[in-house]
Amino acid sequence: MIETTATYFDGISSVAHPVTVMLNEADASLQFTTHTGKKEWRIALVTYHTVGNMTELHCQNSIMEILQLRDTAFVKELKRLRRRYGHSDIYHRLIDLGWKIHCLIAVGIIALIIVCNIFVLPWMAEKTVNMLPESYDNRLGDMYIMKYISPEEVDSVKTVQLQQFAALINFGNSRPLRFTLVNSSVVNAYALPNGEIVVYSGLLDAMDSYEELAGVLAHEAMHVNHRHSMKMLARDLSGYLFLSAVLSDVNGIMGVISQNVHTLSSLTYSREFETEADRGAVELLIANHIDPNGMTKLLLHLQKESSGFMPQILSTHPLSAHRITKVEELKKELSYQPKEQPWMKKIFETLKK
Amino acid sequence: MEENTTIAENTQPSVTNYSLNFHGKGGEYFSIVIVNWLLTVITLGLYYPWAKARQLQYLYGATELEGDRFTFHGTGKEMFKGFIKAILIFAIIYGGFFALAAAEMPIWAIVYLYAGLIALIPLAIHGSYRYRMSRTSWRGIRFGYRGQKTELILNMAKWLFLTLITFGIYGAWMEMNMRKYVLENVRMGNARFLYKGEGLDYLLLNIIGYFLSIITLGIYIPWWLNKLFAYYVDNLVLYKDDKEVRMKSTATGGGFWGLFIVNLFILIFTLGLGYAFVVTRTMNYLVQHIELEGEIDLSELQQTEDAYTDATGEDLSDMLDIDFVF
Repeated sequence: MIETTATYFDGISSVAHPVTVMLNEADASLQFTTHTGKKEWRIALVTYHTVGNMTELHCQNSIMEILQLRDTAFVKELKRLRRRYGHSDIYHRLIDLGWKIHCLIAVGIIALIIVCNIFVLPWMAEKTVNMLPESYDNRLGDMYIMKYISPEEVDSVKTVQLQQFAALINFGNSRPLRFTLVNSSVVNAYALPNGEIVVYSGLLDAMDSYEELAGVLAHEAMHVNHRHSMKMLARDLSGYLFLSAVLSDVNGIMGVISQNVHTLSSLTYSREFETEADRGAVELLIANHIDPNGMTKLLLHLQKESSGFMPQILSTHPLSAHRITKVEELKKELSYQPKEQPWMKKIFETLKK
Repeated sequence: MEENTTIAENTQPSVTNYSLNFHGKGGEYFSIVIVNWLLTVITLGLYYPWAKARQLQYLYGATELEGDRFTFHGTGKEMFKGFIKAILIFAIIYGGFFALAAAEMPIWAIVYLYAGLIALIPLAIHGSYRYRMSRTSWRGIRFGYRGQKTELILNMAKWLFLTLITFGIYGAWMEMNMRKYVLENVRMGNARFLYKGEGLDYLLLNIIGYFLSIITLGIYIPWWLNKLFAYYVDNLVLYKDDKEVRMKSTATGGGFWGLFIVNLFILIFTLGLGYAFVVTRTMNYLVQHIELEGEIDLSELQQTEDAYTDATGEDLSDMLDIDFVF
């Protein structure tokens, strides 16, 4: 049995009462005598918090009563008793590990965040998308079209010609593809998850051969076939849920760091998709007996169009130069015999008018 | 002669300077933050209410008035119930929003969403003050919040309306009215708070602060914040039986500037791990720069507030990002 002096507040007035507290090991209780009489707190019901050398004890069945003490040896003994009677929880055990272990834990968690963002989330997103029905992709794409493409921007005559052009290529697609030509000076094309492929007239103006147009369509068709936009979406969503559920609320700063890791890795991820689509496009051109040089020419045109320099790590698409090298490598690997495609050439010339 | 002195002592009670200190150590708080973080990650976020209770317990327990610490009695279990309720409330609001959006009524969906979120603000403030105050004590004397939910909602609707039709100018009054309403309903046993801030002063303070910050390319911001902090603290009075405790900020713009710069460096160079140090440094600066002076004998406070346990508001306010100075 050990004892110490403490200050007792009765939870009725703010008057401090000095008391002598005894730690009774046999009963597993704290005993002290106050102005109102004898008190006994069972150790199982005692909670404590320590700041510096000051420890405050409360008893769970009357939480407004407080015992304050500054005797660290006494507190240590109390903790030992709590552990012995199995009242110590995981939190206090972890806190008692000391700051060196806590630093290690911190570094470990940061590593975990990075690993999750780079490896686990993309994998999970991929699995999720494979489980989603394809009708989901259609609805998403339809919603986008309703929202962002106004009918007056669509060049209906050239859209028909573009569709005739595309009908000459076998895209190996599992879902129907629709092609639309939109009047805009933007040098770009994109694919929606429902199979809608939009080409801007600006991009068409920048090309000089039908092989390039075939390359663009093949590249975008690859995005649809591999369900890239759904994968991207699933990944962003799961990343967001992961962040907000696990981290951001507890420690805002950690949330910010993790978000940056997430953005960087998601850019890498989108570059992977671009490379995958380029590769697929080259293979597709070859299978259709179209000259895969179209792909290289297209990339050269894009390179000219993209002004300014952006480090690769910050860009959604790999740099054109990098893409050109990859395409050239692939062309060397594969053997091909392109044939002149007079119909494509003819439609392309009409489109360019 | 002797009689006169006795009378003088009775009518003019002596003025006390109360000591207010913060004993939190960044290292200790770091351990708490990291352990909480670990447990939160392992439990996929479910540990959050317990983590929050631990952090509040530490920060309250490190704050000392007249040699005695404040106590936060809230528990993870109580806050977990509040957390679940808050999630359900958000689910209802967002669920309704998506249902209306799916039914092709986008305008109604947005109106519903905003109305719901705005209506949540007074509920969150009410709930969290009620919970937070009821779980705070000093020398065993409970704090309490006596504001009425309906009164706050009606007031807030009125203030919001006035703010809208004055193109935001009334916002300064709204903020001061709100602060006054909330703080004046806070009890510390049988002592209560009064807040003397006025909308006009607050508006001028902000207009001047805003323009000086723009002119000085942001350098003035710490001085502006210092003025806002002083406006909060200096206008706050604890009141009991015709006696007062007055508060005064001794913080300076330069002091805030130094605090922010060092905090920023700590965060950058520790990749955010120094967050705990930033919190304790900031708490330390704020607490050490509040002076308390008055006539109330703080050892004569009496318990007046009932126990109260609903923690829903506490978590609503977290999700809506409402911060507390108390």
